[in-house]
Amino acid sequence: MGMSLEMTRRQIAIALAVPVALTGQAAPPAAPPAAPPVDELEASRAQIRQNVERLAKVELSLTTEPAVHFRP
Amino acid sequence: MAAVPDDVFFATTVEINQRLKAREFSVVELTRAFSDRLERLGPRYNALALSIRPQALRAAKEVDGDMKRERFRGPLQGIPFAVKDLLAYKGQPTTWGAKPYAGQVFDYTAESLTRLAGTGAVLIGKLAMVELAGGGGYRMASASLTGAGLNPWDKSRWSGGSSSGSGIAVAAGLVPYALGSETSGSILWPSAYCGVTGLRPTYGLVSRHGAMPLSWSMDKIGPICRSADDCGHVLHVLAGKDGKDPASAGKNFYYTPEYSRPFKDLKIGYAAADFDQWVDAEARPDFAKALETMRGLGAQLTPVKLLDLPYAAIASTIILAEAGSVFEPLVRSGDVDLLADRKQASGLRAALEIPAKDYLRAMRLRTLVQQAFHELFAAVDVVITPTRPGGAPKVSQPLAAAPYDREGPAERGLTQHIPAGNLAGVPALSLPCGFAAGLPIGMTVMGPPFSENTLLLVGREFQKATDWHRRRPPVPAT
Repeated sequence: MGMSLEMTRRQIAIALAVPVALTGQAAPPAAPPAAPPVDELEASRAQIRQNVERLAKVELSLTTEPAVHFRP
Repeated sequence: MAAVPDDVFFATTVEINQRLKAREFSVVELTRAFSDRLERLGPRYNALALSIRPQALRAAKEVDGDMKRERFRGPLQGIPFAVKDLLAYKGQPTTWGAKPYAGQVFDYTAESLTRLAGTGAVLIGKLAMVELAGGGGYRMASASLTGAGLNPWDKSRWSGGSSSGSGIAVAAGLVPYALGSETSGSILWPSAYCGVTGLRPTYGLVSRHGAMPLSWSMDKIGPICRSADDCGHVLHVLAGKDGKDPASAGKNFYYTPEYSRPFKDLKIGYAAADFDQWVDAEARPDFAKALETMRGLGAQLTPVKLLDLPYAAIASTIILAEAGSVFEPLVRSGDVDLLADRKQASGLRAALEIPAKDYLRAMRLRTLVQQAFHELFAAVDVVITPTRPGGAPKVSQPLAAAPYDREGPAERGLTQHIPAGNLAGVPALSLPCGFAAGLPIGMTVMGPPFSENTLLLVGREFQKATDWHRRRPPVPAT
């Protein structure tokens, strides 16, 4: 189960609507296409879900350990 | 004062060092000339984060003294360089390319910079980068405190990222070499798009002390240079055990071109589909010539396949989970919304929701990736593949998340080499190998862990036979 965020969707939408000032040196390129902020978050979540679904399709042996090493 | 001739701005470190020894100009004069160029031209390409001219000139004066007394310390002595603004330099801003960290100052210097200073290299500036090295994902090239990195070959095109300033600065002759970092493509991309030579070292070979953490299990520091030979000289100084980096492999690297094995003994793997089907149509002729050049040099080219795994999905899950943990305070504070690209902010927010089971599954799949590479390099010494399918995209257009995710031939070849190679922690070298519609393209040589000397051998032989790495973009003279 996913962790809960401390901000509500409404709060996120308000926060993301604040204009962002850039300190660009040359002429700044076109701004990112406008998208509803909550949709952005949903799009990121959807991308993560899609990735996880792709991982789930690969068979893993019970004995396969994660590629991490604990060094005491 | 001796003038520094224009050709010096595009010379290799070895060439410049020889001219310093011949006293054509002093280190102070050289440092002043490169600082002028970096300060004047860097902002035109959004490549400069910070010039540190006063400190550089003081260091240069000391190196001049050493060289006058014939205290020679190697080919990097007296050579100016610059570094991605992700590495700490004591007492100066280290922004990580991101507005929330614009005022950040560390009271220590990154180990890699200390090592280079110890050999007489002269740090003259810090270079622009994609904010937070793009850890949350980004939609636009403008995802940076300094704006989009503009390609010196065509300013309407992107430089590549996240080591954008490092690729630009070397290509435009603003520094002889630069340091970048790679978690998944951030050295290879800008090297290919800007037409320069970039080396991603084996994970753990170069200390990450003083570097911005993004993904502890995947971050690497490496050089972007004018040639494979220069990459060897820089790596020789950078590599080695460091107790301050928990991931340090505890290994040294000795650049030994004089002891290289015969090139003709090398077995080089490749996938034909990479070169003749997956790349952009306008890039095919020069990629085909690059393959022919390798053949002509006597390399034993062998067709290979990489196990079909969802490499990009595995890498993305691991990077986001680790980056989410690193930047949780940024998200919780709300300052994440100061980032230039909204996708970064939403990506880091969503990253905090990745369950441990998914991160662990990705890390278990990574074990399969390591096994796949072990089997691949049991059959061949190195593999070659296009770094990217074509030249740099337009700055004004949204970036394609993964060009190789498009519909294409059934045979995926080595097209997933960037996420796959980074998951496996293996080294890779991107070499300029031609042009597509006037934009540079690059070819990657990838080998097993700690095979950097073999990669550099391939790079040197290729660059002896071609002059792509000597081509200059149409940058203004200073």
